[in-house]
Amino acid sequence: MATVHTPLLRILLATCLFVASILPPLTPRAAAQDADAALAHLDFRQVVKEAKEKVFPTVVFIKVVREDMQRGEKKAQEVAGSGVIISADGEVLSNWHVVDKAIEVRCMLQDGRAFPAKVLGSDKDVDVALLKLELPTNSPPLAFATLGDSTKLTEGDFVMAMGAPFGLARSVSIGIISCTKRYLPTASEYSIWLQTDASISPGNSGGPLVNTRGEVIGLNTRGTASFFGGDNGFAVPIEVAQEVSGQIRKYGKSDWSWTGLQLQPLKDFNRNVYFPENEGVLVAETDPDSPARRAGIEAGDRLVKLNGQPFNGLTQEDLPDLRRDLGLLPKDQPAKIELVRKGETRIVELIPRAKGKVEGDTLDCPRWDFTVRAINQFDNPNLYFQRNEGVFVYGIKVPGNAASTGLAMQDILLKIDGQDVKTLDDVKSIHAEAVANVKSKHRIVLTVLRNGELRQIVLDFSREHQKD
Amino acid sequence: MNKLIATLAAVFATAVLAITVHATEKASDAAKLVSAVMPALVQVQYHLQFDKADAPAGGLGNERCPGCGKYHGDALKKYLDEERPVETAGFLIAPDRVVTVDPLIHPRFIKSITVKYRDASSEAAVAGLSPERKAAVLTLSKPLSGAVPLKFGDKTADDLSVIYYGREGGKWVAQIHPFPKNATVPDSGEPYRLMMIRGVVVNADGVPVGVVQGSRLPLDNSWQGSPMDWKLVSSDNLAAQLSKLESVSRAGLVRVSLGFRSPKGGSDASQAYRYRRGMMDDDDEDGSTQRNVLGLLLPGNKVLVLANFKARVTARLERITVHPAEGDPVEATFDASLKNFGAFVATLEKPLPGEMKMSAADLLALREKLLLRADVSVQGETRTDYFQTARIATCKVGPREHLYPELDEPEAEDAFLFTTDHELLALPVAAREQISGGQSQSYSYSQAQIELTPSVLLTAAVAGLPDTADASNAPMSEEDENRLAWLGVELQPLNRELARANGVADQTRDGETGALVTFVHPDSPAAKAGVEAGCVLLRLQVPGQALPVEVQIEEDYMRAQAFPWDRLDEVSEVYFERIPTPWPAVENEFVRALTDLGFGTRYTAEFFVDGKLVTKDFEVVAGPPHFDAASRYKSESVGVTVRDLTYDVRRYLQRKTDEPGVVISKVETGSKASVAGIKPYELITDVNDQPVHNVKDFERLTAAGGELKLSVKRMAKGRIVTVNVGGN
Repeated sequence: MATVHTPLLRILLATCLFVASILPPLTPRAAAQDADAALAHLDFRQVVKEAKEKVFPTVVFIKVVREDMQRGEKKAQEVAGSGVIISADGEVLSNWHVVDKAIEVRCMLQDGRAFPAKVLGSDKDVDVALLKLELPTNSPPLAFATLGDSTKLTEGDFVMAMGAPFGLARSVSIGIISCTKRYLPTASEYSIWLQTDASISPGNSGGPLVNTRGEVIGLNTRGTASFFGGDNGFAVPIEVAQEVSGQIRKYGKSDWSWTGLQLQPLKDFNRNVYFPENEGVLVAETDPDSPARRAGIEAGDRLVKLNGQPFNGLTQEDLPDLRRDLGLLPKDQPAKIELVRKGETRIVELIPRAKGKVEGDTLDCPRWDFTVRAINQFDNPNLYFQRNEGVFVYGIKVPGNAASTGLAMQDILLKIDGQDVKTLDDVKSIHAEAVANVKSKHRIVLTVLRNGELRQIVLDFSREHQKD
Repeated sequence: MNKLIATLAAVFATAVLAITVHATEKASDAAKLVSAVMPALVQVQYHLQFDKADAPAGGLGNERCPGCGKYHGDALKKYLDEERPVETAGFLIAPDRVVTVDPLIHPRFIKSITVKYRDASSEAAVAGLSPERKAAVLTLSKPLSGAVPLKFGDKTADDLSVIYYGREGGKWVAQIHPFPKNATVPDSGEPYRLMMIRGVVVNADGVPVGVVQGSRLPLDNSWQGSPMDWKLVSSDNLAAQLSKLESVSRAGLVRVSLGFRSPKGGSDASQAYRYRRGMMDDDDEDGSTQRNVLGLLLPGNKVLVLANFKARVTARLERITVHPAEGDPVEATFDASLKNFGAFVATLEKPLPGEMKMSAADLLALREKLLLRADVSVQGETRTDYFQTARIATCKVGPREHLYPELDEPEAEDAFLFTTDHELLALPVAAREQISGGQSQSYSYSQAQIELTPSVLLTAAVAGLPDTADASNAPMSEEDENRLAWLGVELQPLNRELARANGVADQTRDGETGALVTFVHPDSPAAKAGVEAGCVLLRLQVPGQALPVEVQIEEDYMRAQAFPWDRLDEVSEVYFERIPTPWPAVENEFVRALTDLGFGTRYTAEFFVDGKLVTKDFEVVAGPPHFDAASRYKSESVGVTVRDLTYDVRRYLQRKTDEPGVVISKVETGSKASVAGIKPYELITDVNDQPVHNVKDFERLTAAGGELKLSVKRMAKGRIVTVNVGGN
């Protein structure tokens, strides 16, 4: 978690209803006897045992060395997660956040065998990754999991979470489906979540959520609870993981289409905003320079059909599906959209584009003691709003040369010593030259854009902070 | 060799002997000189006390040295702390009379007076004060056994000595000093002799010829003679004079209550921000709307209100009410603030009796003469008055070469000085500070310097209106109140590194002053003068003002981080008012200083451009409306306050002037808007599909009530919000 500096941030933190990773109690559940009584017609122990025996051999414990630049320098760090084998040749499903920026991935199977793995691809929006175990040649086929159908689930169905909570490999916890259609604001771009009260902790990430038939119906991804306790785990529905892994197999990456439509439901209980219509979905806004804007779609339009099919977003829970439909539109081909504007029905053609990267690349600037990142429309919309190209300060090493100048994270870098900076390569070459000539010149002037205001910062990098 | 040494030793021994003999002779001389005086040397002790909450204050013990001009001695409270009386020498001039220096202590602080001679002591009381000399005569309640009054001989100019009586090394001693031969000859007026010591003056035979209590004597011997022959103002007479002073000062020096418009409410955050940056002073720290000050009734139904308000405080002044000593309050209207003095002039709506008479007497000639003093102050609607005698210790050259009187008491900030004719001679007025920019100067917490100012200077300033007025320091309409001057530049304060990198270390005290121009607003005065971003603004020079206006801005650490737009939804509505604006405030130390110069003032700005000093001439002009001063409209039904999109907000949000929108400056908790997820600093661009260009549009379009459809924007994101405000 970022260090808290400003009162505003403190307020923000204090009023957060959700926190990213919560540590539920690690006490074992004394559920067996109660469950027996409640499930008199089933031998529940048998159910759990069978499912476990079926899935456990396919669960892997993943240890990852990732390289992060958030602290102003390239820093490697080991993290752990879980995964599930989905093919005999060693394909593993896990979470994007488990293997993000990995430079080394090791997997351990339930029987103790360990293999390195390669990340075939990952998707940040749905938090899914596809890995491939690097098996020795002529390895015997691996046990792999059966994938179920999460759309058949109803609230109250028993499920099991398997994986390695806090690195405790070969763990299983049980619970029920608490909600089959959970919308998490800011984390439901293309998919809703399966909510369960089966205990999910850090380290469970990427492991399977299993139904009583021993089928994988989701990937455990978030353990999120309110301040007041309670188990609220969230899993990516398996269909979404399959969709993305399919894209990865096909294109080597996830490959969404982008329209630039910001959608808004017709009925919003949370905000008490209701529109009288019961069909279609509202356009809240269109992104600048987007296909939607080019197609002439305006904020306030009500989209009613996409390629002739009904396109209804009554509540926010409907939106991920609609965005997935848009994301799966063929690229560079016109899609037919029927919309209503001020009571008048119109048909427009919208040509989606490839969404491309959802995060900018990062560059380490040692000796200057900060890292920079390319501005990305999806990752840094507010910086993109100020400047739709360029790089910004991503991390600042403390103590370090940049830290002592007053450079701040999120500062958009406009110039270094009078030279315009637009790409990481620009920074890279200026940095290389500056560091090579540090003996003759150790001061550079950075021109940055901060909160829309231009500022100059003199960076003196004569001091070597990396010294042991 | 041995012979030589012996000779030298003999010579040396002779010399030593001679000196000793001489000293013995002098000692006997000394004994002779003081013998007649010694039995008359007494110690006068003033036993002090607190009066109400006030610690004793006064001249004695803290006198201004005629030699160096500084104050010597301890504040009177120290004597109370140490549980001892403050003491001075007295000279017995009759069995029950002692002459001593005028203590200049208000009787309320004197518990008792004791006069001691060796083991004998007596209670004493002030019989009278000398109007000409800094002396008091005490009467003793009983004679002091063993003490002998001075017997004065004939006046003479020959071979005089001064016998001083006082503590030396903690012990009371008599000291013999030669009578000084110095003379001071002023350009005009009588020559005089400066006396560094007080005491009894004796002739060569030790016969007293006079007593010295002040620090000046005429060059002839007219001052000699027994103090019994001095003219004296008796205590009864003094009491009558002070009583007359009371009626004069109560009539002519009146309480004036001032009513102010409430200051514009900013968000909590912006108030805290202003406070932190030292942009609030005592005058408006509590945004007070009612203040009580003193006013002086002048001829022509004028009242001089003694209040040193900054322009932004006077701007809110709405009502001036004069409360005479007797009768109903009278309203007054504002005329003008004085440029050089912390006071303003107002005209009474109907005449009031008691107009103050001003004295134009020569201050120098009045030094050490008996004067009257009124200490008047107001605390809210309460008024406190104390009356006593006073003497001018010396005069100093003050602002603009005028002579200012000084009392022996350095802290007397409420003292009004009157002649014995009850004419006002000098009054406490703050000297108006020059506008010099920067937090370390005019925006610091320091109080303005109160000067005991000759009344003639103020009468001249009042008579000289409007030339002596500060036109920018006047009441304003609410709309004009928040108008700020602008040059049209955005500035980043320099620091050491930036100053050096830009080659202006010598021009800016190594980055302590000066600012980088980071942006020049189109069509602004700066843009028209060809100022370009990247240069350094060093300072402003204002003709007729001695100090340059330094460009000194404090770094705004609140804005060191990007505004967390993406986390706005997580903020509980109860904290909305604490969220600082995403855009920087237009008002900063530089803009404030520029505004305080007054619209229309001409100035020269010094820039450093490409290694050269460049000056450009400007006039202080009002800037376009800014966020803090933008027109606003509060919709009770929706629960938001919206403001016009001013240039600063448009710049931040990159909205062109023709693009619609009003900015939400406040969201009421629990309101329709808050429930609908509307957050501060979002824009409303349309209401019911009609574009909103200003708050008037918003007011008109929301007036219909019923179901309102609002288009809301937050940076690049947007949404449509419906609120049902009823009343359709």
